[in-house]
Amino acid sequence: MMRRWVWRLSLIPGVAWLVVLFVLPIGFVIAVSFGTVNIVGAPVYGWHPGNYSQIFQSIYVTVFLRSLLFALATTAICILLGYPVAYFVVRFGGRYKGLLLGLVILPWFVDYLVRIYAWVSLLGDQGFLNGLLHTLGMSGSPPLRLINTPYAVIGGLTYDYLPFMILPLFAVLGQVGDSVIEAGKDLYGTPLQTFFRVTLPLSFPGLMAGCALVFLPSVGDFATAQLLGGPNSYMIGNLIDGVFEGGGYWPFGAALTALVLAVLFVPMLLYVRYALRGGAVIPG
Amino acid sequence: MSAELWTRRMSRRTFLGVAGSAALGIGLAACGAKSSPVSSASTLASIQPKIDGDLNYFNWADYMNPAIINSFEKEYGVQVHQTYFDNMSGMMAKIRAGVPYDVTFPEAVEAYQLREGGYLLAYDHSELSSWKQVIPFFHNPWYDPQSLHTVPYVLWTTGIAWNSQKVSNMTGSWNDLWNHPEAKGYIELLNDMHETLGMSLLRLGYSFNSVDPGQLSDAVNALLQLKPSIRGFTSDDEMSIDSGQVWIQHAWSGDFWLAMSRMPASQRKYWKYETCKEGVPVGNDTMVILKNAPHPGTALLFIDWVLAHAAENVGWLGYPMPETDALTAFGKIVAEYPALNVTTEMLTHGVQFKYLGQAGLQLWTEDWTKVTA
Repeated sequence: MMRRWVWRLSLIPGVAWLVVLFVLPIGFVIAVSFGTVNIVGAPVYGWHPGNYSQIFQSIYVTVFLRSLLFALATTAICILLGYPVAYFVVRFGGRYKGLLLGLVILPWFVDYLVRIYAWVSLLGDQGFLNGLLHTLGMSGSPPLRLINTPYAVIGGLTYDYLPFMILPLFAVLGQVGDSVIEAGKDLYGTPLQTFFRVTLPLSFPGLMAGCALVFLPSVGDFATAQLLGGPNSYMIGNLIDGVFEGGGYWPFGAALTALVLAVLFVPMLLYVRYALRGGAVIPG
Repeated sequence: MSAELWTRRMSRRTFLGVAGSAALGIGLAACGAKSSPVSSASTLASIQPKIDGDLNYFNWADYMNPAIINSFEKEYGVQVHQTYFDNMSGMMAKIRAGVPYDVTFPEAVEAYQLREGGYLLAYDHSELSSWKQVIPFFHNPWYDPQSLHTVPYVLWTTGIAWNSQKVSNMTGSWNDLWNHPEAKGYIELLNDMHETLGMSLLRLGYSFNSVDPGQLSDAVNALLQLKPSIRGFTSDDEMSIDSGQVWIQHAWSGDFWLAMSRMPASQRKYWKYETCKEGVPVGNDTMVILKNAPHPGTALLFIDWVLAHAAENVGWLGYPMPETDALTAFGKIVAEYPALNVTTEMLTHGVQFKYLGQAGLQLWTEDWTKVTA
């Protein structure tokens, strides 16, 4: 009996942290979205629903849908690239599992913006790839436009969030264990069948976690689109950042933020319900 | 079965708990209205021009010749503690929060807002030995009548830079951004709401600071019409020019100069800068002492020091300062590009950035977001 209370008490610091630094600020943002500003730009709280009158215009819906699309594409590519990596490391990594995993995380030791700049020098007009094409005698003038395109943005997002897909998959595949896969092979015969009937379903919780960890931040990402994107690949995060950092009218930015939160709430809720329902039960 | 019920109840309870906390946040925000720390009436503070401690300096990064800061530290035996901001929004947020900086560098519009909000110290400028070097325009600027609170820092103009090897037929007009289809995909505009939307207004013959919805709508449509031809919106025009990724760049005068100073002569000979006949936006930064500055004496001496060494600053910065020595020095430095000079004519008859007002700011923000969407 007492042990349960002890466990519950241990949740308090974490919950307090989340409430004070996450939930309350969201409340502030919503409050600002209904307010106005004073002469020095400080939020003045009040009731100005007119701040929301502009955000349902088709132009913002387009940008928002584009952000969702980019995030979906990023998630899909992360699955296609990340799953094999996680599977390989778990099944064949042997004693080098930790090292290989370390290599996956290594880029994250470098600052986020610097990683995006790395892609700028990779894809830029005078960058590495164009230089390579030039050396091979395959470039024209002007150079190939790789940067400032939607593909560069998706590529940058994928590069950035790939570890978030690989790590949960690694964790969950690690629990599957060789014996289960061997048993599956006995039952189903071919490795492919075993994969789709045994391994994949068992890895679902990790896959769902990875999707949530990649999709949700990607939608709001703005630094990638700012440096790698062009005027037709800016995301909703760019618009919001433009208001807050660009000396704009903060309540409008807050209204856009509230819109993003409201829409993202749905997939987030779905994921939480999936996780609470217990997901898949992994045999020991 | 009970597990199902438990999870369902749990998620509803959790949801209510989270929603309640968020609502608490809204409520707290509404109740905890921060009051402005000071009244807006400005009586002249008497500051003794002597050191009263180290200096808390708050500026853009790389926006002052380090030699000036070092020489000040050596001369007076104090330390200058430097903090940097990335944009005016960040600066304003920290000042609103009451962080105890001594001297900071708002642009003209922000200086106006801070002065109106009662955040700036008013002091007798005759305490500054170099004040008479500052050109008369800034003895009574629009944002600070009688210049009681501010000292001008750096001046700039906004114009168009272009690579004459790729593009020709530039006419000294903002239309040059629209009328070069051969440069499609190699044109960039500044990612700055007031600069770019204002420029579009100027081109149509409207005021740079118009808050008329119809005029703004025209300006937005003109930019949307240009949008398919541009490569993007940039805050780093210097990098864009240097990287060769643009042929026509909406640019700040000083950034053009800095880009040229880094470019090899073989490429540099093709690059030019023009100001435009529909209107030349002229901006300036200011130096101010905050009302809650813990060391106003040191701040006063520092401002005087910067004024006295303005000629050293302009070469390093690539931008002029409105002091007689500095303007002469700058004119010599940019002899190759006379369009980079900021003349008194530009100041008195040019286009200045003005505060748009809360309603105007809302309109501009919504319209600018439409342009960048």
